Amino acid sequence: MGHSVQDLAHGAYRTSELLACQHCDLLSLRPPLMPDVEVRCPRCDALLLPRQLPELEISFALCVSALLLFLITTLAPLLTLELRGIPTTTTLAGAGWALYGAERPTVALVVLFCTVLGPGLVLALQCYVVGVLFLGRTPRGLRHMLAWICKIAPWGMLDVFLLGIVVALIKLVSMAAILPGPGLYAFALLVPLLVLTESRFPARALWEHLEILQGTQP
Amino acid sequence: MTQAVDANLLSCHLCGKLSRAAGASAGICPRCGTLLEFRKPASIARTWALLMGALILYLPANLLPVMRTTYVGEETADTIISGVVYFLLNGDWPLAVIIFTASVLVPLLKMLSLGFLLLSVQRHNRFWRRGRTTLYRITEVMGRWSMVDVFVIALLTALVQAGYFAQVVPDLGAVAFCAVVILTMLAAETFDPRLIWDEAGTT
Repeated sequence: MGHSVQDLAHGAYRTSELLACQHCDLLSLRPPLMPDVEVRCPRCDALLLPRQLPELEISFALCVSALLLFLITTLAPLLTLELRGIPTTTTLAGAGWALYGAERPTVALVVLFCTVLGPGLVLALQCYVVGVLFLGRTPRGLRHMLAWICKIAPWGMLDVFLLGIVVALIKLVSMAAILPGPGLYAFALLVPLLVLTESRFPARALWEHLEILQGTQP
Repeated sequence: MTQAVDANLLSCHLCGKLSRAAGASAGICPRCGTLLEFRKPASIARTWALLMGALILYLPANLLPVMRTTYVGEETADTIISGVVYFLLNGDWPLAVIIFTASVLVPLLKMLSLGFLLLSVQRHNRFWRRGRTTLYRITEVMGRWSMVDVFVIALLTALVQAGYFAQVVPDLGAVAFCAVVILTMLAAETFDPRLIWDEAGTT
């Protein structure tokens, strides 16, 4: 490529032409355009730039369907257990809430945040940000919204909760009649959809977009 | 190979933007407003503190019962291990393996790997840098799966509510266990893998 280590170190390039690895701090030249394959650190293999799909409408469609499924999951009954003919039903939030009722408020708060509040907030913000951009306008407070999305997203644990449902089902199935509710079907669809939504959410591209906006309207 | 710090450049840990350091103070990311730092502040001390906290709580998390189950008037206290044994005795060994891995093995391996990473960084070890960085990434990704037991307890508490006949109540072990998971996740977030590569020179 014709650049030397000295060039990278001694300011021959502008900061916008370089990338620093978050895991080993190695500097490398960034590709001039958003690449259609992911870029990895040559030294430690960390992800430098994700594979970006420029189509905002795909991201918007994924966000909206994930949010709708999430709403169904939170509102519709997830599981019903019948003991001696008396049915007990729970929803997604019901699981966390039950811990609060059983006098474990701290654990309840953690569970509610990781399964309801966190994922819900992230999805709502993603929908808003991508939706407004899709309409060709700039969302107000884009900087703060992106920051919150990046901060909260790692604490969403709906995939782990799905494994929890499987384990709980197997534990209970020998003990009583257990019936899946509509929320469970929505939830089973939601988890793979969330993986797609997360991977297609153009966080990196939005940060770049924000920088361009900041440059033109200070 | 050049590190950003050698070129007096800082990368924002939130949005990834690269900025040139201005003077002694690192400053604020012009793009997202996050405080810029060459390395996560007091990373080694903070990670040790969180790790020690997790290690101490790992004992009550495994020794104290995580839930009490009443079934036809009879109360039993379940620990994490007794849950694994229950599945093993019922022939559900795949599930026993999943629970054992998620609840016992993952937190333990996570703490061991963070301890190993911290020690190797403090001793300025130069071996296996790429491998250690991969180990860090695995540690960071795996941690959340330990929450599965807490979620199972939450679901059982919500569903099994038939009083004298059948009831599940979470116990203190669950609180300790939840704290272990959160503390190890925070410890992984506080550790700065770039320390593995500092003073790397030519590799």
